[in-house]
Amino acid sequence: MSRPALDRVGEQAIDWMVALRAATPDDALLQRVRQWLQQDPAHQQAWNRLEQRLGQPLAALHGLNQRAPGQAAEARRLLLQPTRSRREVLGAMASLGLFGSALWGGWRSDTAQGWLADLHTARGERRSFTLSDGSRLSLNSASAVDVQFDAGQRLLVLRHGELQIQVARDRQRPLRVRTAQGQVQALGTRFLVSQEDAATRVVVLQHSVRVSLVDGQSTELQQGQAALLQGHHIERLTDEQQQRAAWLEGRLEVLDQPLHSVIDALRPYQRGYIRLAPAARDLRVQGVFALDQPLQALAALAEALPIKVEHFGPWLMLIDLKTA
Amino acid sequence: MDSTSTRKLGFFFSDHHRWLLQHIHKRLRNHADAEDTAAETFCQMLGARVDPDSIQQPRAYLTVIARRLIFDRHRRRQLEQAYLEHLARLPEAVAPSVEEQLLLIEALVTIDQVLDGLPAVVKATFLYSQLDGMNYADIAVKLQISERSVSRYMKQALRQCYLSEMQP
Repeated sequence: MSRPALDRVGEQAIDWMVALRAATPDDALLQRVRQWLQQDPAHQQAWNRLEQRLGQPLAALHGLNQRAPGQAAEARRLLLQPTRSRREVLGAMASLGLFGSALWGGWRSDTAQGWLADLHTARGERRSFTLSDGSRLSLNSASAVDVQFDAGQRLLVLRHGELQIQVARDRQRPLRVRTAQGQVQALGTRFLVSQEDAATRVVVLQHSVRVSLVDGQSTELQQGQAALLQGHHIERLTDEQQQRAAWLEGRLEVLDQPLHSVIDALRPYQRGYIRLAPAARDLRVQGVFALDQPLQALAALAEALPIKVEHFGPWLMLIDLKTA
Repeated sequence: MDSTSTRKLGFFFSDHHRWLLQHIHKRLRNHADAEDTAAETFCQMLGARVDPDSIQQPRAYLTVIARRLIFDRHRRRQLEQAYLEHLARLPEAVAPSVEEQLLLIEALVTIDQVLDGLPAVVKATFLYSQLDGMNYADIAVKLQISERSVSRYMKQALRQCYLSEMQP
């Protein structure tokens, strides 16, 4: 694809920027830049365009650097790590058969993992199972669990998705749910575990559980309490979380959440790909939606929010801010 | 974009979607990734306002876009993992929240995409200036190049910034 040529004003803006970055600029230089900017609105526009592209990303990295000096340099180091050309990378990965395995493992290999797991649900399917000990396990849409029960333990490995379990009492064999971030041990109870992108969400519906991270940190959660398990950190959630179990009744209840998390909850129920524009991610949403009618839910969202939902055949949907 | 061309693109994609998916699937060997990439390919065409009638060799065209996306995906994942591992080692008092982590990764990926394809020394010049806040004289010493080259490389990198399209 050809790139547009650089216009004269753009060229000038770049020259000024190069001059400004050379060293700490003196007043005379600043004065000249200011004059140039005021000469013509087109000058200011070109300047903004130049700053816009990387202004925010750079500011984000500088922000962290202020708190933790040396972090900007670390970002630089990562960005300068040599990358091989596209062709090389593609060739190398294909020949090693790496696609779809380790390298891509955590990304979106839900489908592949689903077929390998002991219990799994398809997109749009919810199912309940009675386990050999009498516990009742419910899986939300597109979820997968391995069951490892033996004489000494009851272990469920949540590969992806979301589960709710009503634990049968067994003093000899504690029941644990393991996720990518850690584990949840039942202390005679009903609770919800959800494997999210880089975290595990735990909501206690009855009695209590003990949650622990891979690194050993742990804490107890009582009925009504909830937490997010992250790499090295257990974050207690203070806002209301009980409504997250509403999927058991086929509902999605949203008290006050950003649109992206609502779309994420609908994704497992909608075939095809839903793409949410960054500008619309953080719109706040409230309401109750039927999980089994994701299209209806999306239509309702489109009515309540300043968004437009475009369908392109059954496999792609674009959600963006409505343009005035 | 008017509805006729949107519809035309819709047809174009239903014509080629199956083939594209199979093609990507051969490379990714993972259905969900392949689906995402196929959809993303379409989004790129939408974003670029391509008229499907002007494409003479649809399969070749789609292959080029899809290849680039597969590469970007791999590169993004690499950067993301390396950076997350690094952030996880920060002392808790200064460690970024999950939300901030997302923002930082987004920032890193954006910069990476904008600078993609520039020679390493040009990238280094730009990053020493913009991230480390070094002046040209210091950068020249650091990279063992002349100050004139530093200016030239800065210009080259800024040119690419200026011309790079904002991602949808």
